[in-house]
Amino acid sequence: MTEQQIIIEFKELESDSNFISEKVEEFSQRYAKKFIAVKDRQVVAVGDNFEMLIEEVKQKGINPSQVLVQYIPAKDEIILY
Amino acid sequence: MRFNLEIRKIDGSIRIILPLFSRQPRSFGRIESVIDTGAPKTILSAGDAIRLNIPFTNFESATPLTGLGKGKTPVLLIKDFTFSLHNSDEKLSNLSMPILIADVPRIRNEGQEKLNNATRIPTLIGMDFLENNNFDLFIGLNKNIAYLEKVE
Repeated sequence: MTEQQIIIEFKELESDSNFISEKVEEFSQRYAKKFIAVKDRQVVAVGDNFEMLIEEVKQKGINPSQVLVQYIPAKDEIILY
Repeated sequence: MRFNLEIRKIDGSIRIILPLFSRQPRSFGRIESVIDTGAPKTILSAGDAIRLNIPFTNFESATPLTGLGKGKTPVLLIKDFTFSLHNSDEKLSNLSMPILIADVPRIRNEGQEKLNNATRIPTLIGMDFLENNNFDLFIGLNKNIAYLEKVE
């Protein structure tokens, strides 16, 4: 993979990351306690657990290494790390 | 050289996000990591390890991690993890450093619930990342700005 291709990957990654930040409140209402996969500023898969989510991503013909995955906590759930 | 970070607020919890690109051989891909100044070590999450198809058998075990709650999390050591950052001048910086990685096969052996919990945790950027790569970290929540600055 060339430097230019990686820069393009980065721009998509940053755009998808911004998308999650912009929509996180909406996602919190809609997808609480679920995993979501985001690519090209769209939610491309939703799953109750990570492995189910990745299976759905693969079934849609998307390479899992190109999605961002976010676990959406419930309103009363705080994850410490 | 500056690397912009993203400030994300999820239900009142603030996270500082660093986008990375893994250049690990045969495990290229996008990573959305979280800066964790409470973590001494950088750890590639179980979810990212699965997504990037990391070959778990290629790495040696490291001291399991202890966190909140019962039990420990088994981890492996990648001695030379290679990745890129994207700086504010639209250029790439290629870095390499030892990192820990969640040992997904062993976590899976401890039960599906343990794996489900592990995959909720993102890749964490620990203090070793800042120290090894000569980064200073700036967070201004009131100005809604956060970035890493590389000290040359």
